Amino acid sequence: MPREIITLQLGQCGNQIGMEFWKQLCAEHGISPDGILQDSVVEGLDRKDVFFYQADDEHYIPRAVLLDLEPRVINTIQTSTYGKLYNPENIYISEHGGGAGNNWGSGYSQADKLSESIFDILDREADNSDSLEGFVICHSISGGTGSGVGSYLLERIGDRYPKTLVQTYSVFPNIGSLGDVVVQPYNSILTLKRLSLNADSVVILDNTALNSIAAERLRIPNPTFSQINQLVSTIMAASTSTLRYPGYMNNDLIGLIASLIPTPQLHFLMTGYTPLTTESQVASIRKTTVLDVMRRLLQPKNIMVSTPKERHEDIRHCYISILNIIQGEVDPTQVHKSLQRIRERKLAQFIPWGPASIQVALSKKPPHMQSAHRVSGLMLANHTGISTLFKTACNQFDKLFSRKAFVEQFKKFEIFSNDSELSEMINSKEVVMRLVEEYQAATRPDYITWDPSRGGGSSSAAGGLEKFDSSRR
Amino acid sequence: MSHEFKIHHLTSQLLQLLQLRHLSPDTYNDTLISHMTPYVTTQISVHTSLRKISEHSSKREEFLQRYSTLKIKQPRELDPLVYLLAKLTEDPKLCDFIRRRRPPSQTPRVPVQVTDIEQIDVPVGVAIPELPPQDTKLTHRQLELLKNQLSSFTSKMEEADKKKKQRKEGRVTREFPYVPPWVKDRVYLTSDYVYPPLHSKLPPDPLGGHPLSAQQEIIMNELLNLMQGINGRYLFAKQLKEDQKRAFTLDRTLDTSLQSLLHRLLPLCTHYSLICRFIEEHSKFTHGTVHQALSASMRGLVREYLLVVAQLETQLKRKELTLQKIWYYLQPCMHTLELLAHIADTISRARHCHGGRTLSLLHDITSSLLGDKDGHKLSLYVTKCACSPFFRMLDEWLVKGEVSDPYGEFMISEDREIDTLSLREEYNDYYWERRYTASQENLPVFLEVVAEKILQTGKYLNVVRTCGQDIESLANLPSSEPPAQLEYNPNERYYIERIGVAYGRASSQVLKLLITDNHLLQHLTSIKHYFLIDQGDLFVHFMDIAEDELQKPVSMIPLSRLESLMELALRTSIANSDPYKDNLSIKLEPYNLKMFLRHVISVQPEQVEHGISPPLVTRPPSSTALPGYECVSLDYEVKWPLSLVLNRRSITRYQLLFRHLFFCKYVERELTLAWKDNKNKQRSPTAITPGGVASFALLQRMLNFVQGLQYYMCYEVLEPNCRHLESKLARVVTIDEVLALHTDFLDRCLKDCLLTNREVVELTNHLLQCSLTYGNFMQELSSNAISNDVLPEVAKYERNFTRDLSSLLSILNEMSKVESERAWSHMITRLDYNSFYTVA
Repeated sequence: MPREIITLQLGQCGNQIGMEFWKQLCAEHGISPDGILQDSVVEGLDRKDVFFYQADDEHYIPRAVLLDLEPRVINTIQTSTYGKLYNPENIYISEHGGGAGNNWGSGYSQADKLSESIFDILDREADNSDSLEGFVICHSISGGTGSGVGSYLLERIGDRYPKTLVQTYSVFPNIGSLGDVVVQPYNSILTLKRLSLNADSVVILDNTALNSIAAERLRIPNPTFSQINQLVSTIMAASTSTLRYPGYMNNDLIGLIASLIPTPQLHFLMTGYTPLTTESQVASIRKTTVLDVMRRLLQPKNIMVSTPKERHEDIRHCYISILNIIQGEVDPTQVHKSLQRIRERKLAQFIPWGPASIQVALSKKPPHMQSAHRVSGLMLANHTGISTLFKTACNQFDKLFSRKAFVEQFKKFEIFSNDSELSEMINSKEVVMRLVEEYQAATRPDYITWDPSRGGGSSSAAGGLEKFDSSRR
Repeated sequence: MSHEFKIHHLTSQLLQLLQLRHLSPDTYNDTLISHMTPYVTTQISVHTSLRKISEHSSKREEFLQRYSTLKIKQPRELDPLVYLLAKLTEDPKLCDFIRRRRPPSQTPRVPVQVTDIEQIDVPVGVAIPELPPQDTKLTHRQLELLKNQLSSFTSKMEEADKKKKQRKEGRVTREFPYVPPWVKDRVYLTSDYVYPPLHSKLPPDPLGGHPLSAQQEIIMNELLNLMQGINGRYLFAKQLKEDQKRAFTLDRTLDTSLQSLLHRLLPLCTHYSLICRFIEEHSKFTHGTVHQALSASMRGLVREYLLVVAQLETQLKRKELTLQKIWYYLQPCMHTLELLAHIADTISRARHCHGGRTLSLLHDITSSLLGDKDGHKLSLYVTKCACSPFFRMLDEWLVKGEVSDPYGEFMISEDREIDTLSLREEYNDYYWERRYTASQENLPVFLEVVAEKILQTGKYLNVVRTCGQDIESLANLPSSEPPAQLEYNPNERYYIERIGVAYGRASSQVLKLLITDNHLLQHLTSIKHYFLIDQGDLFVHFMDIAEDELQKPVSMIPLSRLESLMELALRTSIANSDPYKDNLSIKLEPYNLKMFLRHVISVQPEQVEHGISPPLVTRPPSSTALPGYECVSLDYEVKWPLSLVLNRRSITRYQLLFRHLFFCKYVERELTLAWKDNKNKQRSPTAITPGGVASFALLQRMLNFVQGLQYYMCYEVLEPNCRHLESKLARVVTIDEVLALHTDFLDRCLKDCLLTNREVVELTNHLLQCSLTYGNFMQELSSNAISNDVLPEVAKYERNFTRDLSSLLSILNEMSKVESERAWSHMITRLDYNSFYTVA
C-alpha cells in the first residue's frame, strides 16, 4: 500500500471539516458510513488505500486522527451515522476536557503535555503504512486548539518523520471583523510562524471568502458551518483526486506540491472551485465546458481567499504557479484550447523570473457519485497576492500588541514563562513579515538574486550571480 | 508504412543502378510519395499511348508488332510501360537527355527491350574465380589451385541452388503423377496428322486423269478422312515447321474449280490439327488442372465436329454429297474450329502460361468477342469450363481457408515455413503478410477487383481455423444459405457480390474471435495501463521499492529481484484488479532509449528488407555500464491470434514509448526528491540564501520542463489518440482495419511524441539527462543551508539547460510550421507558456 497519507483533525473547526471530508471520500469511493464497500462498486478504478486501510474484516477505516481538547464536537461525530467509521483508538480527547479557551498558549502547552500519547497514536498509524507520504492537518488558525496544538505538532512532526510531507488545510478567520475571539491576531501570527517554517504546503481557506462565496455564489443568506465545511471538503477531496484516481501524471503528493512551490518558503496556496453547488441547490441549467471552468477558476469571486487590494501600485501581484485539477470527461484537446485562450486574453499574470507553470491535471469523476456537472475544476494557485493577507494579520497584531492588550492571558503559559518581553510574539511577527517581503520580491524579475540578508533586490552581487541572471538573455 | 519503405527501397535501387551513389534516396522519397497517382489501365489510354509512340517512332510497324507479341506474354506489365514511354516521348527535354546519355557505341535499339534471357543467379557473397588467359601455360600447382577454386565455387553454387530449390519446394510441392514412357513413344496415339504420311511411298495416279465426278468422289473421301486427322493419298499434311500452321499437299492435277473449293475448306483441317495438338499437349499433368479442363471442353467440342463429319460420310455413302454441300454444311463448324484454334494458338503462344494467367487470356478473348454472338457464347462456354477447377480452389479457399493447389495455379500461394510462432519473435507482420500472398501472375484479370478481398477472406478463415474453431459449421450457418458454387461470369459485379458475402462472413467471424473471444480491447486497455502509464501509481510504487536496484549498472541488477519487485508493485497498486496483469513482465535491455532510437533512425535503406519489414530487425550495440533506470523495459505476453495485432513490431513500439515515459518519470522523481531533501534548508529567514533561491528556481524550471513534456505526451498525444483508436475500433468491420488502425495509432504516437526526429530526440535526451544530473547534484548538497558556493555550478547547469531548451523550442517551431496539423505546437505552448525562453 504505497504512498499513504494520514489526516490529522485538530480542534473544533478541524474536526468539523474532517468529518465532511470523510463523508465526501466515503461517497466518492462507495464506502458506506460503517466502512463497508457497497456492492455496486467496480474494482480497478480508484485507490482507496491512500486514505483508508482495511481491517481484518475487510471494512475500510480512515487513516485519520481526531484530536480535541474538549469533547463536544468529537461527541457529535461519534453519535452521527459516521461514528462507527473511525478507529476509536485514534480519537483523542484531552482528559482535562476544558478546551484551550481560544488561547494559542493554552493549546500549545497542553499539546506539549499530551505529546507522548498523541505521538503514540501517530506512530501506530505511521507503522501501519508501508511508505508514508505525508500528513494532512486540518485546523483553524484563530482558535486555541487548532492553532496551538497544530503549531506544536508542526514543530515536532518534521523532526520525527523527516522524510514525509506536511500539508495543512488552514482556515483563516474573518480578518475584516475582529470576530468573537479578541486574541485572534495573536493566535494567527503565532500559528503563521509555524506554518511558514514547518509546513511544506499550506492550503489557505479564508472564512471571509468562504462566507461571501456562500452568500453570493450559492445565495445562502446565513450560511451554516456545515454548509461552509461542505465547500471545504469538496476542495480537499478534489485536490487529492489525482492521488485516489490514478492517471497518467500527478500520482503522488510530492509531484503536486513540488511543481507548485518553486522555493520552499513560498508555500501558501489559494484555491478556487467551480461550479459550486450545495446539496440544497438544484443543479443550474448550464453547460460546463473546460474553457468555462478554467476561465472561472481565474476569477477572484471563485477563489476561496479574499485578498485585500494592495495600496502600493508598484507591486504587481502575479501567479507563481497554477495547478488546475479538472475532473470529469474531458477532451484533452479542449484543455489546450482553453490554455491558449487564457494566454491570448492575458487572464493570468505570471512571475517574470521563470517560465509560467500552469499545470493541468485531468482526473476522473468518482464513478459512484451522481454529479450535476459534466466538468468541474479545482485550482490550486501560488499567488504573490496572498501576502496581503499576512500583511493584514500583521497590522491587526500590531494594533493589539502596541497596546500590549490581552498579553497577560498568554504569559500564564510555559512557552512565555521566561519571556517577559514576549520575544516569541515579536519573532513570529518578524517571520511573517519576512514572508511578506519574499512574496513581494517574487513579483520582481530579479527575485532569483534576492538576498534577504540585504533586504532586497538586485544590488551588485557576486560575478556568478550576474552571469546567472544574464545567461538567459 | 510499408508503402513508404517500399518506395524508399525502390528509389535507392534506382539510384544505385544509375550509379548515383552520392545522392540519398531520402531527398526524393517525399516528392515521390506526394506525387504518386494510381495508374489505371484502360483500353483508351493504351491506344492513345500506342499512337503517340508510333507517331514518334521511325519503325512504326516493327514497334506495333513487337507490342502485340509482348502483350500475350506479359499482359499486365506492358500497358503501364507503354504509358510511361508515351509520357517520355511527350517530354522533349527528357528525350534529349536520354539521347545524350546513350553511349555512342551502342546501336540504336527498338524502344522496347525485353529481357527474355533468364539471368544466372549468382548468389551474393560468392566470387567467381578468375580464369587465367587461355594461352598461358599452367604449372601443376596453379592447375591444382584453380581446380580447387572451381570446385569450391561450384559447390557453393550448388548449395545455393539447393537452398533455392528447397525454398521453392517449400512453397509449392509440385509432384506430377507417373506417366508411362509409351505415351510419348507411340506416334499414332494422336488424332493429329502423322508425318510422314503412310501413302507417300506409293505415288498415286494423277487425279487429273479421272473424270470430274470421279475426281470429286475421290477427293471428298480424302477430305472427310483428312478432316478426322487421317492423311489421304492425294491430300495429305505437310511436315510441321516450328511456329507455323499446318499446311497440306494437294494433287496439282485436280480440277481447278474443285481445287479452289478445297482450298477454302482446308483451313478447317489446319484448325483441327492445331486444336488436336493443343488438346494432347495440354492434357498433360504438367500444364495443370485449368489447362486440362480447357482441353476437356475443347475435346467435347471436337467430338461434336467429328459427329458432323460422320454425318457427312453417311451422306457420301448415299451418294448425296457434293463438295459444295460439304462447304455448306461445314459453315458453322468452320466458325467453331476457327475460334478454338484461335484460343489454342493464343494460349500456346503465351509460353509458360497456366492457371490464373490462362484464365486472364480466355477472359480477354471472351470479352473481345462480344460483338459475335455465337463466338461469344462458345468462348464463354470454354472459359467457364476452364475456370471450374480454379473456382473449385477458390471455393475451398473462401469457405475453408485452405489452399489445395498441387500445380501452382491458384492466385493465392502459401508459404508453409512461416507459422504463427514467428509472430512472437519476429519484429514484423511477416506471418500476416507473407504466409499467404496473392500472386499477381496467377490472378485472373476478372478477379482483379476482388483479389484483395479474396486473399483476406481466406486469411481470416485461416486465423479462425488455427484457433481451433470449426469453419465447416461456420459455412453452414443457418442464417446464410449454403454458398452456391462460383462460376465464370464476364460481369465483374457478380464476383463483387458473391465474394463480398464470403468476405463479410469471414471478417465478422474473425473479428468476433479477436474482440469477443480473445478480448482484444481489454488487452489494449491493459497495455495502455502498463506501456503508456495511464495509471501511474504502479510505477510510482515500483520506483519507490526498486530505487536501489535501478541505480546500479544494468549488468549488476539481478533480473529476478526486479521481477519480484514488479510483481509486488502490481499486487499493491490499482493494477491488481486487472485480469491480464500476469501477461506483463519486466526486462532489462543492454542499451538505452537514445541508442535504440539512434539505431532505428539511422538504418540504411539496404537493410530495409524488401521494403516490408521496418528497420526494427537488428539490435543496437549494447553497453553493460548503463544505469538500470535507462534500461528498464516491459514485455507483454501475447497469444495467437491476438499476436496478429499485438505482434512484436507493435510491442516494440509500445516499448519505445514506455521507456521514454519511464525515463521522464524517473527524472521527475529525482527532481522532486531533490526538492524534498532541500526544502527545510530554505525555511527559516536566516537560512535563505541567494544560492538557495537560484538553485530552487532552476529546479523548478527543470521540473516544469519534465512535467510539461509528460503532460504533452500523455494528454496531447497518447490520450487523444487512444480515444480516437477506441472510437474507431468500436465501429470496425474487418481485421485488416484493426491492424491498420493500430499501426497508424502507434506511428502517430511515436511521431507526435517526437521519437522519430533525430535532432529532437537528442535534445530531449540532453535536457532530461541534464535535469537528472542536476537533481542528483542537489540531492547531494549536504550542509544545513545551501551556501552561495553552489552558484557557479548552478549557473553552468542553467546555461546548458536554457541553451538546449531554446534550441528545442526553435526546432519545434520550425517543425510545426512545416507540418501544422501535428500537435507539436501544443508542446511549445506547454513548455513556454509565457514566452519566457523565446522573448528574452
